[in-house]
Amino acid sequence: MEYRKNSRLIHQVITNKFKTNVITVRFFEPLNRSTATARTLIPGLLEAGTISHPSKKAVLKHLEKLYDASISTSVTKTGKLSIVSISIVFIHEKFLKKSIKDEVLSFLREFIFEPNLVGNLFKKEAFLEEVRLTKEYHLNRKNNKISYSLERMKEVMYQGELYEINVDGYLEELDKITLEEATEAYRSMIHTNAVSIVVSGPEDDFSSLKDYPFSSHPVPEAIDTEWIIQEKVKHVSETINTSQMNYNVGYRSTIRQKDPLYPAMILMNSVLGGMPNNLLFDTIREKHSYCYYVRSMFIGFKGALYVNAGIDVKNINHVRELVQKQITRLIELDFSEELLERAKTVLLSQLDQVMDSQGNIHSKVFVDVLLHRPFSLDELKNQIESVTMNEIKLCAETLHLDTEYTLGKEEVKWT
Amino acid sequence: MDIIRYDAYEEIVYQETLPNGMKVIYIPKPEFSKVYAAMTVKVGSVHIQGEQEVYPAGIAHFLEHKMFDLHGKDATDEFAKYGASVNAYTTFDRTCYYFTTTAHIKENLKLLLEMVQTLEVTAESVEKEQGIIAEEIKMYQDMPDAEIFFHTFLNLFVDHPLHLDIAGSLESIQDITSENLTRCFQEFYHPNNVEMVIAGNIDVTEISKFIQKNQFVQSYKETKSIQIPYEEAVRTNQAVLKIEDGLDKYLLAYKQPPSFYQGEYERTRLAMAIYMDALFGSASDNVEYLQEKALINDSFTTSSYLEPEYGIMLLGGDSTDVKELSKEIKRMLKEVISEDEFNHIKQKMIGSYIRLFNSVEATASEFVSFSMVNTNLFDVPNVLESIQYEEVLRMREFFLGQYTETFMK
Repeated sequence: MEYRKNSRLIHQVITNKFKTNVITVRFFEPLNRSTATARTLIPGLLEAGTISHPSKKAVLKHLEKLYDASISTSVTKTGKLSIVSISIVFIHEKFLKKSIKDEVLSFLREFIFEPNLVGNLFKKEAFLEEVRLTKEYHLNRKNNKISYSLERMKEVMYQGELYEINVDGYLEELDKITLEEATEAYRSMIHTNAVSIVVSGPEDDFSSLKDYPFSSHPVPEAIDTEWIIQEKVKHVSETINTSQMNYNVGYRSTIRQKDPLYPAMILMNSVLGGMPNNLLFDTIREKHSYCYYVRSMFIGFKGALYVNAGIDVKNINHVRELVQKQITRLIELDFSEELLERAKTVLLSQLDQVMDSQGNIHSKVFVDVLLHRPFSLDELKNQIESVTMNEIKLCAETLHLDTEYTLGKEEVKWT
Repeated sequence: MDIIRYDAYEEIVYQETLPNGMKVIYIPKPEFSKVYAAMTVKVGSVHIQGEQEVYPAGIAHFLEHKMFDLHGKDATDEFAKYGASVNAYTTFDRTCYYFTTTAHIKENLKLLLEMVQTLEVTAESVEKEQGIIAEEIKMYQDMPDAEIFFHTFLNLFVDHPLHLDIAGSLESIQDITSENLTRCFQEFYHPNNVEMVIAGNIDVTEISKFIQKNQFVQSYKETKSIQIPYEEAVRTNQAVLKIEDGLDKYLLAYKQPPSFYQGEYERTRLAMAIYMDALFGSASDNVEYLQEKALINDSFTTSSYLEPEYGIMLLGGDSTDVKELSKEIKRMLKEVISEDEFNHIKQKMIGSYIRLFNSVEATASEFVSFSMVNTNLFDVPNVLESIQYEEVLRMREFFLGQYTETFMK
């Protein structure tokens, strides 16, 4: 494996373990409530066609001819940033009878910079189609109760903060949004967003990417430290006809990416509910059979920890108590050192596996880009190895219960 | 030890059958850090008919949960000590236990073998698991996509156990006991009913020696395979379910007996993949038409369950007009694909095939799923190359067979 920073823009990870090259282009801008709905339409509008491949079908057919090369797009949120991501995967020439790299590169350029505009605007039909698809996505949010209830909890938790902005846009705005606004969101992305590119796979020359007309704005700060402190814990119980109750808890922490305690915090999350067999799982599922799934996750760019579980409504108070109890156990160091050692072993093994997937390689490089530091796995690994029990305690002490949310047949009487 | 080379894609596979009957496949990929190992048992939710008794629905999945009890501890903990993440899943036909790790390969392999080859179960631990699995079943009940899926299988058969949910029901799991779990385990978990795969950063000679030594004490015992006869009848051709909110859903299922393969199982699977991609691939005329009519979105999918014992094809998705969608899909299934399209898709499929080898897990699990039905993943490009246009056209006949459709509105 070799890591190269080819220019200000391009990070290249050369490795022979994959049959494909992957290029990911990311556009970064600060979250913005007024343009969130327009921005979420951009990927679909680009997929709707280019000047020389003027429809969704023409684009896909062209990619299929390139030995099933594929483009994937997304709009995501990391800390204070909204990120549009465009990724293309294609087979390296070693495994084909010819090289398709030049065709792929020229198509990528076309895809990003030469959309199928009519006059100065995207095609009306493409715009309406993308609005329809986005609307249908929103209408189906409740299909997955686990993700829906977590999203709802976050809406309650971050009310009034920048972080509450939904990068998937807003249903109520989709009827009003105009073609002009959507086109403007695209132009603004091209001209004002910071850009970063990651390439991985077998060795090849991708330096021509630096001549593409990308803007040269610096990557803005991503870590979000905003915290509207509430006097009381927020409680919301939403009723819906389900078999199971989805219980979600949100905690705040002052520990975020770059904090000296960050490595300890990810280990604390592992011990609490992030790794196989953790405190939450062992107590709530294995000991009491209250649930099938229970887990915790830590969000390093925001400083937040979420716990979620699918439970029988009659056990809600027991489960609430048990979740809180596990946090207390962390603070009181009421868990074995062996458990921490196991969390380290599992986490280090996962970090070793980052390099086994192009997707994970790209994610890790982008995290380092956002933190303005060189790509490295070793530093984090060393830090993780040296985390102590007392640092776990310090991390747990920063947890501040912010929001509890349930989605289920009955309302919960919060006490 | 058999060696299968695949020089064009720089892949190599070793396989052997141990004296106890277990088949072991080794796929070295030394450039990767990880090792992935899996043991797949040929038992799934359809295997409820035992030699002496009919087991409660969901027993294979229940057994999957209980196999994690090892020496009075949770095996997951033991794997974690060696840095491995272990998991398992149950399908209609299989139960698969697997881990990934970057270290302590032999220790983890030993744990996996012990876990899958010993059952520790008590009345108390069964009762606890009933509570956990009940919540798992309820979790799926709250997912409309899972509901329409299992409801479609319910209606596609009358008596065949494919009509049952993989996890069973809240009622059927109450009939599961430590006794019938033990009998089910003894009936299906013989080494000769298991295939093992070990892939990634491994030294094949060393690992093979280790496995042989470890398995030396395991004796050979034949698994009596009870054939589940194919069932021609469907429960109903059409069902309408209620959905609480969101878009309506639609799922259409067709089935065919094994005779449909005409003795060419692997070719048929590939021919069907070509046919479905031509008709409903993301770049197809039909998908473009259905999108223009606003009848489908990204949820629209086709999937195939082409097993040696039965063939099932599913199509459907979310729509604002499921009635119209149903009408259109049924019309399209009768279409003839063009020879150009046929050739285009053949070339495209080679690309997606090569991409599979990017992942240790995907290479290993695909290799095993081919091996389990006595086919070879590495034959795919050659078979694909030799498939004729006429063979693909014959796939239309699949959709003249029995069907059921489910609407959720």
